[in-house]
Amino acid sequence: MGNTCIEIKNVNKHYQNLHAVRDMSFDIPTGSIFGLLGPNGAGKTSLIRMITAITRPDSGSITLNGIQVGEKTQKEIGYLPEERGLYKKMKVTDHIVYVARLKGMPKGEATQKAKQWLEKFSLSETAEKKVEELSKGMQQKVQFISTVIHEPPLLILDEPFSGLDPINTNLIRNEIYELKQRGVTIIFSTHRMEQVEEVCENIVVINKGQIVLEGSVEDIKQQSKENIFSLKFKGTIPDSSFLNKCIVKIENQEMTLKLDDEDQIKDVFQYLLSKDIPILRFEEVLPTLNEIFIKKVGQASSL
Amino acid sequence: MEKIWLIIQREYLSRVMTKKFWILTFVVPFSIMLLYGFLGYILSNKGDSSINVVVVDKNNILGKRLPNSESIYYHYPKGVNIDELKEKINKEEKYDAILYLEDSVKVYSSNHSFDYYANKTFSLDKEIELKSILSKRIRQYKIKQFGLEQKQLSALDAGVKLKPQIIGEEENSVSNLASTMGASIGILIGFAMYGIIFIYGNMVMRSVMEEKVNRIVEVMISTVKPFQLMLGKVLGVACVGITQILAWALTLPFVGLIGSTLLSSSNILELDPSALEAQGIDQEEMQYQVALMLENLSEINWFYFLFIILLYFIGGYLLYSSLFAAVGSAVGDDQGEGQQLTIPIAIPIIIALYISIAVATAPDSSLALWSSQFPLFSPIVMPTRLFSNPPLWEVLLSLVLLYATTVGCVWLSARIYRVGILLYGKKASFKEIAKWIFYT
Repeated sequence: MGNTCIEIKNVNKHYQNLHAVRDMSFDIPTGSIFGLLGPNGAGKTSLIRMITAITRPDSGSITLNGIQVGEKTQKEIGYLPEERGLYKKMKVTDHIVYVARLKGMPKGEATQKAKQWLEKFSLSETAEKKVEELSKGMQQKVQFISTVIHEPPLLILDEPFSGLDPINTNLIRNEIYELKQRGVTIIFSTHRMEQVEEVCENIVVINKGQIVLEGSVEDIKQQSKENIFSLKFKGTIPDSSFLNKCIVKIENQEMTLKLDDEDQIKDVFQYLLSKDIPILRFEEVLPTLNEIFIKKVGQASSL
Repeated sequence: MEKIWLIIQREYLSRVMTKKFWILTFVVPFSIMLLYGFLGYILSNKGDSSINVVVVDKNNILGKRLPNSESIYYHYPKGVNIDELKEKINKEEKYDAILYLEDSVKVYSSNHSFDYYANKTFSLDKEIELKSILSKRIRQYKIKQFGLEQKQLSALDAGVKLKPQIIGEEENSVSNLASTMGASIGILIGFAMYGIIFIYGNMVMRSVMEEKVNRIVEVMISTVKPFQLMLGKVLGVACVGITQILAWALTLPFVGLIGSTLLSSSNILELDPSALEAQGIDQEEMQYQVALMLENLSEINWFYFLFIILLYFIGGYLLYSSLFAAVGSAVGDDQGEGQQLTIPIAIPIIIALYISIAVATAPDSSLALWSSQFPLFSPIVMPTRLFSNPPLWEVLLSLVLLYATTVGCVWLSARIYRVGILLYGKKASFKEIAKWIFYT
């Protein structure tokens, strides 16, 4: 994996009577798409606001490439907040260039980059229009451009797909992949697990200000697996006390089995072969992140 | 610093580069001009053209023939019957009215009434003209009857003037007239200050609210410090204000010129010496007063005054606009709720305006002394007092107090602002806002 982009160490954040982030520590590797997951109110936004130096942690430290986050690191970050907006009366190009210049990009370069991005997102015709004249989908694309225009090495996207139609979702998703190819580290914050599964390599799941799960998506799934397998067969299964014990569900010549361990697979195969039942497909069923999440969060809240 | 500069530019350009701004900037003076023109037209309308008045003066009270004027011609037909005349007027032949003086005048009476026959009423100005000339002639008639001379009469006038002779070494003790003028200039400046704080303070507040409601603010805050954003806004709007005031300053003379041309064409401003005389104003005296006024105006140390006023403008604007920004940040998504939160800011501004009106006529009262030191009032009150030459130490102390408070208010507002802009949903209560100040 190589270098660490963001290092979070023993971070705490209080708001009045809420302990929003509790002694949290984790690393975000450089060049990865990192999922920051958790239900609403888990502390995602609190954490992000500390990474972007909008607020400061009460204790603990956050570093970006070894530098304490602060005013200096802000231009290294492109942040697309969940609550996002644009200056409605500004022209599209002016808006993008303004944000880029605030991030320290020279005017000429910003103008040129803005033009390229607008072309890429087929928004060239709107370049001189006022933001308020654009459709909602177009405005979201402009927001995305404003986030990435200054080519930050770290992107923080908070619910980037919320409110996007499928076409734009796809467009933005491809853009995220492309940026990752260029070595950009991307923090992807969401409460929608299915999006993470397809996009992220590493994740941290937080709830009530604490980490509940962390690691690569694959590892987490492996750790949380419960030896569930699905098996497609032909014919009918004779009544068997051995199989009945394992079968969770059976329909349309496909059954879901819950085994004690992987050694049992052999037994299942042997039994079916002995009964002359052809096996068309056999595979391990890994839990979805959503299931793991609900289970973990459920546990945590019952504690 | 560069970021603040960018923010100032955006705040400025996004306001000034709009049609709305220029329409507002020029529609205001233009409407004033139209109003002037309209007033001029109304005032210049002397009603119908001239009228013909028959004078029947049986006892020769009025003396020699009344001189014809632009609007009234006097006629003295010989040996006519009053009833015949009335008949003629009724048929609207030749004459419009009869002035009928039948009885003799009682010299010891100060009220006189004469009959005036007409088949319709005439405009007010003609009536006034007629009354004025009659009163003058009757006065002359009485003088003759009393056997007085004009000289004696003039000697009866006892105009009194008080000439203040200030004892002491104060060089720049200004004459009474100058301080009267100073008071009027001061009130004007007080009003201007009040307007500027309100208009542009509100502009800052709306701008903060807009950013918050638009949800752009979180993006901005991840790029610039809240303080930079707030300051950039306050300064950007200040530049808008300067532009607008300059635009007005450049157009108003034109407006004034056009207005006064319209007015003078109507002769309204032409001073009729006899009218002045009737009011007991001597023409020479008046010229003297005008010259004195001009002399006093040139005696005022304009550089000093303008510089001090500028300092109050800057301090007052920064103080109040930062408070408006803080209020803007505490407002929820419903923009109407903001009005309620502005009340605590509006109250001192309004009080200050009233104080400054009172202070203009009594610049050395105790009210004037303390209110021109109190930082929430001083930006409006002190400029009003300035023309009565308050001691320099008072001005300096008041400025120090103002600027110290301004720094404090900007700091306080920045702390409220920083928390307020990131909280969405409903508007905050004053209690909550107070808590924000102590957030880390």
